[in-house]
Amino acid sequence: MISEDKIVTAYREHAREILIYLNRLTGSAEVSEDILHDAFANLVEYSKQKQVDNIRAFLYRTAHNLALNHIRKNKRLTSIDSHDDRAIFCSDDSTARIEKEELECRIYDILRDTDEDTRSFFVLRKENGLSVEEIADITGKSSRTIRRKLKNITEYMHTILEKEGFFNN
Amino acid sequence: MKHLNNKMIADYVLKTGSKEELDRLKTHIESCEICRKKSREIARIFQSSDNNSITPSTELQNQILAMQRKSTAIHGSSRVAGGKRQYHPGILAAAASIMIIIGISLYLTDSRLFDQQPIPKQPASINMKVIHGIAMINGRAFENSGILNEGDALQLNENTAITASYGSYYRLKSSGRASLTVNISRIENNKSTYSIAVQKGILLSDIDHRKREINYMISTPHGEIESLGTKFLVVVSEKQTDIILAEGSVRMHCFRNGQYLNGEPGKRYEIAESVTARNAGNQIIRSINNFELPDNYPKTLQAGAVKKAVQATTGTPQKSKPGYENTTSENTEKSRYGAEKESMKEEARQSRSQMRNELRMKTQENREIRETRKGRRDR
Repeated sequence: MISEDKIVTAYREHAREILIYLNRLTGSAEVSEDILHDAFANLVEYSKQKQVDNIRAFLYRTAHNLALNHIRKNKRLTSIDSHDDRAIFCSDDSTARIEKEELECRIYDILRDTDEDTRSFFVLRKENGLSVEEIADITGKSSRTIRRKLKNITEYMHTILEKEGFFNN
Repeated sequence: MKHLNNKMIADYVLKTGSKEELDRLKTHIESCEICRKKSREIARIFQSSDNNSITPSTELQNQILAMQRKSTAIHGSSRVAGGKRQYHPGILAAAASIMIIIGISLYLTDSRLFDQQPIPKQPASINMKVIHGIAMINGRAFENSGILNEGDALQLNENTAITASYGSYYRLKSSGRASLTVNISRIENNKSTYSIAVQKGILLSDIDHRKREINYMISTPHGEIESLGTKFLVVVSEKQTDIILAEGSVRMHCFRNGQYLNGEPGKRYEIAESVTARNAGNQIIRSINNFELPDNYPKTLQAGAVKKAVQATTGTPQKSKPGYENTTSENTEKSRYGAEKESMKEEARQSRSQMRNELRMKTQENREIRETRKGRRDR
C-alpha cells in the first residue's frame, strides 16, 4: 500500500497541474477539487491491491475519467458554469491584458463546441504542456488519434481566430 | 515558394512529427516570413493561460491524508486477519495455553478487574399498534400490535397509520407505501437510542421534549434528522427529503455536502439537489419560507400538527378536498413541488441569461478597445 510520504509528495508535485486541467475541463473549481479528492482516494484504494508505478499518470487518468463522467452527467449545466468562469476570467480591466484574455476566452469558447476527447487533449497540451505520448498514457487513446485531433482543432481554431481579427496586429 | 498548411505548422509547433520532418519544416519556417508568422500565431493558441490563481487547498490535502491514514489502519488490521504471516501450529497452541493460564490466574487473584467492564447494552423494542391499514414487519403482517427490534424492516401499505411508543411516543402515517428499517434501538447508560432509516414514505414524529433520556434520529437516503424534542414530519421521496417542523427543533445533516442546519418551528426544509448551475450535482439543505401543504395529503396529516405549522408559516388555513385517498405519493410530490421548482429554475435561467448579456457587452467593449488601439497604431 502507498505510504503517507508518497501521498504527500504526489500531492505536492501533481495536485496543482491536475487541478488546472480539471478546472479547464469542468469549468468549476469546487467540482475540480472533489474530483481531485476522488482521484487520490482511488489511488489509495488501488494501491492496496497492486503497486502503482507511475503515480502521476494514474492520478491524471483517474481524474480524466471522473471529469468526463461528471461532464456527461451534467452536460447542460457544465456549459453554463463554464460561462460563469469565463466571466470571471474576463473581468480584469487592465488594457494590457485584455487582448490575451480575450484570446483565451475565445479559445475556450471554441473548444466548448468540440468533442470531449479533443477538449481533453487540447487542455492537457496547452495548460499542462504534456507531450502526445504522455496524453496517450493518461487518456488511453492512441498517439495517432491524439495527433490527428490536435492538428484538426488547431487548424479549425486558427481559421476562426484569424477571421475574427485576433492575429491582425 | 509553396507555403506550409496549418496542419503542418501545427506539427511543427506541437513537435508531433518525425525528426526528419520537423527539420524540414524548421528549415522552411526559418526562411519563409508568412509561415513564420503563422507558426507564431499557432504557438499563441497553445500558450499556457494565467493559472496562478489555481492552487489546491491545504484542507483538501488534509482530507486526503486523513483518508489515507484511515485506510492504512483498516488495511493493516485486515492484513493480520488475512493471515499473511504464517506461524507453526505448535507455537500457536503454546501461546493460546499461556493466555488461558494468565486469564484464569487474573480472574482468581483480582476479580475486581471484571467489575470495571462497561454495562452491556440492552436492546430496546418499539411497540407498534395499527390504527388502520396494513403494516408488515420483515414481510409478515401484524394485525393489532407488534414489536419492532433492531434490524427489523417495517413496511406500511398505502393509507396506513400506526402508533409506536418507547417511553414517549411517535406516530407513523403513510399516504403512499412507506418502508423503514430500525437501525439502532437500545438502552445504554439509562439512555434510549433509536435510529430509524426511512427509505421512502411519510413519517410524523412527535417526541416529548421533556424526555431527555431519549436520543431519536431519522436517517434517509439524503440526510439525517436528529430530534431535539419536537413534532415534525419527514417526507422521503426518491430525489429528496422534506422536513416540516411543527414544534421544537431538529438538527438536519445533509450527507452529500456535510452541511448541518438547525430547523425552526413553522418552516419547511428540503434536502435536495441544488437547482443552481454552480452547485449542480450537489445536495443542499434549503429552507422554504412560503409553502402550502397540498390538498391531496391525508386528512389525518392536514388536521394535526403539520397543518398548524403550515398555518403558522403562511397565515392561511389549508383547504381539504375529498378524494385524496386515491393519489399516489408521486402525484402528491408533483403537485407540491412542481410550481415552486419551476419558479426557481426560471429565476436561475434569468440570472444566467443576464450574466451572458453582461459577458457579451464586456466582449464587445474589449473588441472596441482593441480596434481603437489598432487604429491608433496604424495611424
